[in-house]
Order: sequence, then C-alpha cells, then structure tokens
Amino acid sequence: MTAAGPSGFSRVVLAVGAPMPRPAAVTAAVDLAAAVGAALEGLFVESAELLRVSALPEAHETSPLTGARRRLAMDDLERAFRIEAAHLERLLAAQAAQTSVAWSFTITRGELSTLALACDAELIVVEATRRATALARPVRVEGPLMALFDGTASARRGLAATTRLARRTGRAFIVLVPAGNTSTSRSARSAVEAWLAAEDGEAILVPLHLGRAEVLATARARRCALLMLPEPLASTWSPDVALLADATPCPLVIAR
Amino acid sequence: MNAATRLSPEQLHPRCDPAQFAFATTADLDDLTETLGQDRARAAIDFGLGIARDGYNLYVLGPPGAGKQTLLRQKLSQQTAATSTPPDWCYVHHFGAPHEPRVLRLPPGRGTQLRDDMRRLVDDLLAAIPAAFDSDEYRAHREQIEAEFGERQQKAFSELAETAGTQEIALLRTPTGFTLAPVRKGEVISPEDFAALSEEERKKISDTIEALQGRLEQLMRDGLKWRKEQRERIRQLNREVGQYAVGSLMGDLRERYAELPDVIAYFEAVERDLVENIDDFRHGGEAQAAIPGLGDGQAPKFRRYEVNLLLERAAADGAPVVFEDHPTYQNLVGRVEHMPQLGALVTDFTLIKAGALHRANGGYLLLDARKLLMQPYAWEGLKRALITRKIRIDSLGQIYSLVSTISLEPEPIPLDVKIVLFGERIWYYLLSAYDPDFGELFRVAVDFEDEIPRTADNQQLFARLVATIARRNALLPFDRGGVARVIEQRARDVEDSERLSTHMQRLVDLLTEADFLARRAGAAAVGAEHVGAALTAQRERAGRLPARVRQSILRGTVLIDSSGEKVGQINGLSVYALGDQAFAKPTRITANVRVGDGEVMDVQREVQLGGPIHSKGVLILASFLATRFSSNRPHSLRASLVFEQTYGEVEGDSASAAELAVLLSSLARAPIRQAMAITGSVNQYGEMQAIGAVNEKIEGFFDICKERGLTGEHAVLIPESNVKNLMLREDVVQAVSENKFQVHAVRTIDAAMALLTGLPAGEPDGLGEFPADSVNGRAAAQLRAFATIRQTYAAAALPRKLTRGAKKRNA
Repeated sequence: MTAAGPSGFSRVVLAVGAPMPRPAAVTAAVDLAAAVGAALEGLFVESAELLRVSALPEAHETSPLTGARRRLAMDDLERAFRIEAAHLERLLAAQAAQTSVAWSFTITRGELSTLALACDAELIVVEATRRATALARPVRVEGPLMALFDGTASARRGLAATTRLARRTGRAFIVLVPAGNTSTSRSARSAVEAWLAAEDGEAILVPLHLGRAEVLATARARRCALLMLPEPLASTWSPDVALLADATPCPLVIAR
Repeated sequence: MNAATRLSPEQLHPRCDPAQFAFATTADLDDLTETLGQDRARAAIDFGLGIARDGYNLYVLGPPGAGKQTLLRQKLSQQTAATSTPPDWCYVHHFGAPHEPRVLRLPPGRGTQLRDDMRRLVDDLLAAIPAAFDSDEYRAHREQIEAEFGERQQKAFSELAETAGTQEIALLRTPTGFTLAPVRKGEVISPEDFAALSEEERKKISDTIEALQGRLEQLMRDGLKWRKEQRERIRQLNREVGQYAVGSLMGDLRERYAELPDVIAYFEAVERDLVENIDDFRHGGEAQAAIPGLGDGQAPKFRRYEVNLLLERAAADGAPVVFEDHPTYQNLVGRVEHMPQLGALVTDFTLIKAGALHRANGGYLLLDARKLLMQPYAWEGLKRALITRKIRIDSLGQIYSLVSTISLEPEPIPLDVKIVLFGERIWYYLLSAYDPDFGELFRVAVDFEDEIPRTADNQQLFARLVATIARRNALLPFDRGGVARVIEQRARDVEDSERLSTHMQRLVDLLTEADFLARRAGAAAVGAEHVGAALTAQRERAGRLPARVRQSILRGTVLIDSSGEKVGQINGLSVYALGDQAFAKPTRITANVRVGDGEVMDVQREVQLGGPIHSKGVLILASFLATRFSSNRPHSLRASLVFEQTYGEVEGDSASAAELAVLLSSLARAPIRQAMAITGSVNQYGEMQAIGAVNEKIEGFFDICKERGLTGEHAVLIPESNVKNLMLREDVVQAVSENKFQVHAVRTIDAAMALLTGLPAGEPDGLGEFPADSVNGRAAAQLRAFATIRQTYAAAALPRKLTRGAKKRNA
C-alpha cells in the first residue's frame, strides 16, 4: 500500500464496470485524488456476469438504437470490453496529465462490487451501469458536492476529502446531517461545524432523514456533481455497491 | 449676275461687322440662359418630359458636342425640382423560397429606417433570447420535462425488470444494448447449470425470455416515441419562450410600420422564422462567429434578417436624374454578386446590387445610344424593362447558360422611368428602320439643329453665348472684334456665310485656345487677332497630311500644271476627309477623243475605282454632249476620261464640270489655261450645280499656286450657287484683294469654257449651228468629222456583209 500523504489519503480507486463510463466520474476521481494528494488507480472490471450470459445458448442482446435483436457472442462482448477499457484509460491519462496525479490502470474480470470493495483505498469512486434502470441517469451534473455525515470515521474521512475537493474545484458543498434534535444529530452537526471551522471550509448543512431514497432524491434535485457516502451506511443501503451506483444520479464515492 | 462673275473679296468672306455690337467686351453681356437656335428641340423636350405616358421616351438626335446634354440637364433640373421623390426599394429574405428574394416598397427615407430597425432587432434578440433561456424558470420547465421522460422510461424498465425477476429472468445492460438472462438466487445461471436443466425447463425459460423480449422491443420503440415527445415538448417550450421574447420586440416594430401592409406581412414572416429558429440566438453570436473563408464575417444565420436597401434616398431629393456612362447590361438592370465561401461561390439577397434603372426609377435615365448599342444585351435588356415596366435582374451568365453557380431570382421591381437617349442621327434612323420596338418606346425625337441663320439678332445672341461660355469656363472676356471673328468661323464651320454652327464643343475649344493665346500675350481681352491665331494654330496642328500632299505636287511627283495651256488637260479639285478635318488638292483630269459609237469611257469606273455618284456625273455629261452636238446624226465619239495619279476610289460628282470641260477641250482642240482650276457638277443642260467643301477646294489650289508664286492669272471657277458657301481664309481673300488670285462664279459650262480657254463658247444659231471659231463650233465640227469617218467605214463594210449573205443563200 502506498504511504498516506499529509492529508491521510494514499489511494483513490476509480472502479468502473462496463459499459459507457461517464466522463464526470473520471473527472471526479482525478480531482479527488489531486485534492487529497493520493495516487489514483483505474480499475476496469469486465463483467463476469455478462460473460456468463454470453456463454448461454441463444443469448441475445437488443440494441436501443435500432431495436434489432442479435446474438450476444462472447467474442463480441470481450471486444467491446477491450474498447471500453481503452477508452477509459485514455480518458484517465488525459485528465491525470492535467493535474499531475500519479495514476495506474488495471483491467480485471469479475463482479464490480466485490472487486471495488476489495481494493486497498480510502476512497472508491464507483461507476457502474449494470442494470437497465441506469438508462435514465441525467447527463449533466453541474451542482454542488454532497457528502453525508453520520458521525462515523468513514464519514469524517469523506467530509475531509470532500472539503478539500470543494476548495480545489470551487464548487459549493452540501453536508447532509441527520435531521431532528436528537443527540446524534446535534453531535453530527457540531462535528461538521467544528471540522469546517478548523479547515477554514464552507458548507451548507442540510438536515435530512438519511434514508437511501431521501438522499438520492436530494442529490437528484440539487443536481449534485458528486455524492460521498460512508462505507458502512452504503453497505446498509445495498450490499451490491454497483446497484447503488447505478441508482445514484451522480458519481458515487465510498469513503472507508 | 452674269453667266460668269469674278468675285470680290467681300463675297469670298462676308464679314461680321464688330461695329454692330454695343458692348466693349463680353463681360458687359448677360448670360444666355436658353440654348441658341434650338427652339424645335426645346419644344420637343418640354413635350417629352412633360407627358407621363408609356413609350414617350426621348431620343435626342444631333452630332456630338451640339449641347444636347447641357440643354437636357437644364430642362431636367427645372422638371425634377417639382417632382416628388420616388419610394425606397428594399430586398428582403423570402423565408418560403430563399432563392426568390422579396421586394418591399417604402416611402422615401423609410428604407434606411427599416434596415436600421432590423439590425437593432437582431442585436436586441441576441441579448434578450439567451437571457430568457438562461433563466431559472426556463431551466425548471425543461428539467421537469426531462425528468418526466426519465421517470417514465425508468418506470417502464423497472416494471419490465421486476416482471422478469418474478420469472427468474434478469434484464442486464451490455456494452451495446440489453439482454435477458435466466437467474438462480440472484445470479445469472452458469452454462453448465443451464445445460443440466431438463428440456422442458430450458424450453420454459426460452419461452419466458421470448415473451419478455417482445416487451423489451416494445419498450425500445416506446422509448423512441417518448424521446420524440420529449423533444417536441422542449421545442414547444422553446417556442413559447422565444415567442414571448420576440413578440414584445416585434410588437414595437409593427406599430412603427402599421401603415405599410407589405412590411407588416414581412414582419410576420420574420417572427415565424425567429421562433422556429430560436436556437440560433440562444448562444448569442458566439456560435455564429466568423469562420475564415466565410465572406464578410457576418453571422450567416442572421443575414436573412438583414434589409438590403438598394438606394438610400431622402424625402427632399426629388426625382433622380441618372446618367449611366457605362451602360452594360448589368449596370442597367443590376446584378447579383457572389462571394467565395470555402471554395465555392455563394450568394444571397444582401448581394443584390442596384443598376441604373433602379437608381433612376421614378425619375430620368440618360444614356448614350452608341455606348448602349455596343454593349451585349444591354439594348434588349432596356427594352424588356420598358415593355414589361419591371426591372428583372438576370445575370448574363445565367441567360447564356455560361455559369452553373446557384443564383437568385429576385422579385422584379415596378419600373417608372423616362429614358433619354443621346445619339447621332444615324443611330436614330437605323433603329427606326430595323427595330420594330424602337418607335413604340421612343416616341419623342428631339432633333438638334446643327446650324442657325446668321441674322443680326442671332449674332447678338451669339455674342451672349460667347460671354456665357467665357464666364463659366473662367476665360478672358472677348472684345467685339474677337466675337466677330468667332462668328465668322462659326459660318465657316458650316460652310455657309449665311448660317452659324451650333456645335458647342468646337466653339468651346476655339474660345479656350484663343483665351490661352491672349493670356500669353498679356491681353486683357481676347481679340480678333487671338482668335485668328488660334485658328491658324489649329490648322497647323492638323496640317501634316495636307503639307505632304502639297510637297508631292511641288516636287513634281504628282503632276499638276499651274501655268501654260494644254488641250485635254484640266485641274479638278478633290477633297479628302480624314476624321474631323478636310483638305483639298488639285487633281489632273485628262481626256482623249476618237471615232466611236458615243461612249464616254470613265477609266475610274472601268477599274472599279469610281463611285456610283461619280459614274452618274460622267453619264450626265455624256448625255449633254450627245444632245448638244449629235441630236440629228450618230454620236460618233469615243472618249476616255482619267483622274491622273489617283490610286483610291473617286466618288462624288463635283468634278463633272471639269470632266465636261476637258472633253470639250479635247474635242475642240481648245487649250485650257492651267493656271485655273474648276469645281462643280453639271446637269444635262450644262448648268453648273453646287458642290461641298468649296472653301477647302479653293484653298487647296491657292496653296499650290502661292507656293509656286501667284501671278494674278491663277483662278478657281466655282458654281454660282456656291457663292453663299464662301468663307475663305484670310490669306486667300488678301490675295484676291491684291489681284493675285481670282475666284469666278459661273452659271454654265459655256461660261466656264470661255474663261478656261479664252475662246467664246459659242451660241447656236437658228439652225442649231455654233460659230466656227467658238469652242462649241470646233467641238461640233470634230464630231461631224467623226460621224463622216464612221459613215464611210460603215458604207465600206456593207458590200462585204451583203456578199457574205448572198453566198450563204447560194449554198
């Protein structure tokens, strides 16, 4: 493992499952690595699930462009993966070159969620479109950065990273804190305020019931550019982080 | 006057008496406001300019420099002051058919206003529309539409995925589409497990997937439809936003042009187009920035809202008067220009350029007929415009299919113009004869006089004309003597001592040169001596060729006798016209006679160097001879006539008197005085008739004689009817005054023969016989002798003919 920098972050992973990663996710990962002074590892995951489908007899795919149905052949699928991976690597190289972030790139085969969470990194940017429901994701994400703070260590790490990213990018910063007047919510708010004061950062604190639906709806409504979630909470919401990334309207970052 | 009269110096150059003028110099005189002696032309102009009906265009006939344009411009300036300014004409984009630009008619001055208003409108829209689309309200509306579509699609996919899940089928994305796969416990079934399934289970899975596949494909189709709906709703939203932004600005414009229905209709088309193409304005001018090679750098999409004001006019301008000096077809009817764009030539309505007809529309167009007729298609183009009363812009390239570049067909503009053509008479007569449209289109002929009578009144007016020209051209004033000398030259210019030339340009040239000489001499006014010097200088400048001809005679290359007597040889006088100058020289004419059958052989004609009028003259004199001397016997003359040492065509009958005289000399064996020359034509009765260039002819012979030394015997015989044409040079008149040279006016050939031979011509007696010692008597005797010889030979030949006839019969 790379030694952690002065900010306590050593590695950011961009885990991408085919197909069609959004440039916004790559930008978010590069900016994040630059903001926290960590190395960036690009991880392209060839979906074992799709390969398994292609091995089935009479496996077909339907094109949304033409509506035509054709045989889903393993060779075609692997060729498509290679193209996607090469595209991602070029994107990563170009953006990393602009920020002088140290980066590497790996192609592997398996399940995105498993492989992403198996990475040795403090921050994992997950970009996945496994299920068909991801079809309707908004393309433009021009709004603020959003981090969820529930008081956990992962949330603190996420808050720290997002604060630096906000400072670097000049974007607005929203911190979702537990709603209500409970001790948990009060202490979370205090902790965030204290952090911001210490870091000379600025953020808008938004009290919210920190349920999956509410958080994702808020991110959509605010046209967030990035959503930072602490890993424990994300795991609670969905054991399959790829499915969660699928449902998120903007690049999803898991803070560990 | 007798049949022959020796002319006095006064008859050779009728003077203009300076004493008739009351002024000291022309500075004392008022300007002459009317063109001198052009009453007929003036009346025709008044009529032509005054009548406002089709076809009453003007053709102004007359030689160049006659003052035609000056008079026309004077009249037009009076006419246009009282005429209202014609409307403005603008070309605008035709949104339905861009290759057929529309034309708008506006009151004078409003075209400029419309053009500026439309430019301002585009500028305002470039600010207002991006602002409207950048508003939170618009963004919220648009996101609402997009979210609705997204939710609709997501819901459909979710439902399909859920339905599939309940049947243990997963809906998955592939890099290039969607696939349906059987799952067990949330995982896609492995090929091995699938293979382990029973045939029935595999079929069931296959059927299930097939059924779901149908729904998936339907979903895809629905997706396309929803996207279309979404786009349409966004477009509608854009339209509504655009309509609001555009409508408020267009509303102001409509109010300003409410009284102009065509402009209002144009605004409606503009508004529809703006709303349909609102996206062009959403990003301001940025997306429309100039691209290298794209012409003038103006945003191409916004050019269609430009207004091409063909002509800028102010309400107070009055009717236009346009003189088109280079009347090509396109300079007349206008043109559609092209500009290079990325290697191709493109055009639009903003590149339509006005022609002279556009500029003169509602007023007057002045054209030079010769220039117009020399330009390809220009005359036809002008006629077509006048006949259709429309200005239609067609390029010559398109007409002749020489150019394949896409061009425009601009809407024709109604034409209301009065054409004034200037030209020489020959063009008018040719057009009248050969162009059937000409008479219909140019019904008013303005015929300028070349000359006016030399009356006392006209001489007074002429003095004022000199005063006017001197003042306008900043010349020194002319004193009375100077004016008188100018008037005499004006008579000489028309070869008529009783008339004056109206040719303005030649007059201005003379006055200007005389002024130059007077100034050089330090004179305060231009006098007769300066005018005379100017004329001499003009003659000297043009004198190279006459001098060479004179030299060839004096050196004996061309044989001309100016002394002594000779039978069958006479000095005729030939005139040479080169450009605007004419000069004359003596030409030796000789004749030989012998027995013949009455034919006078003109050598010039035989070798086809004689023109038809010349030949006519020879035939007339042959008829005269036959009638006078052989009315009761065979005309047994064969004569030959030659213009010696002429190598080009001889034309005209002005030498027919000389030819007749030399024939009579040859017949009568009467020597002719070579110190004399004769010019004039004769008719069948031997009467002398007037000829042209009489002054040049006399001077041509005088110059030769002067060079050889005047003896007092030298003389020129002219027809009596030419006396009024005499305006001879000063040195000729001087020589006559000093009895060194003579000019005789003769009425008949008999009078001429008496002078030429010194013998009496001879009058016939009661029997028609001439005195034996007269010219005619000797000629008659010679002809009788010829007849006798002819009869003798004819009698001798008759027995031989009869003998041949008898032999034939016997055989």
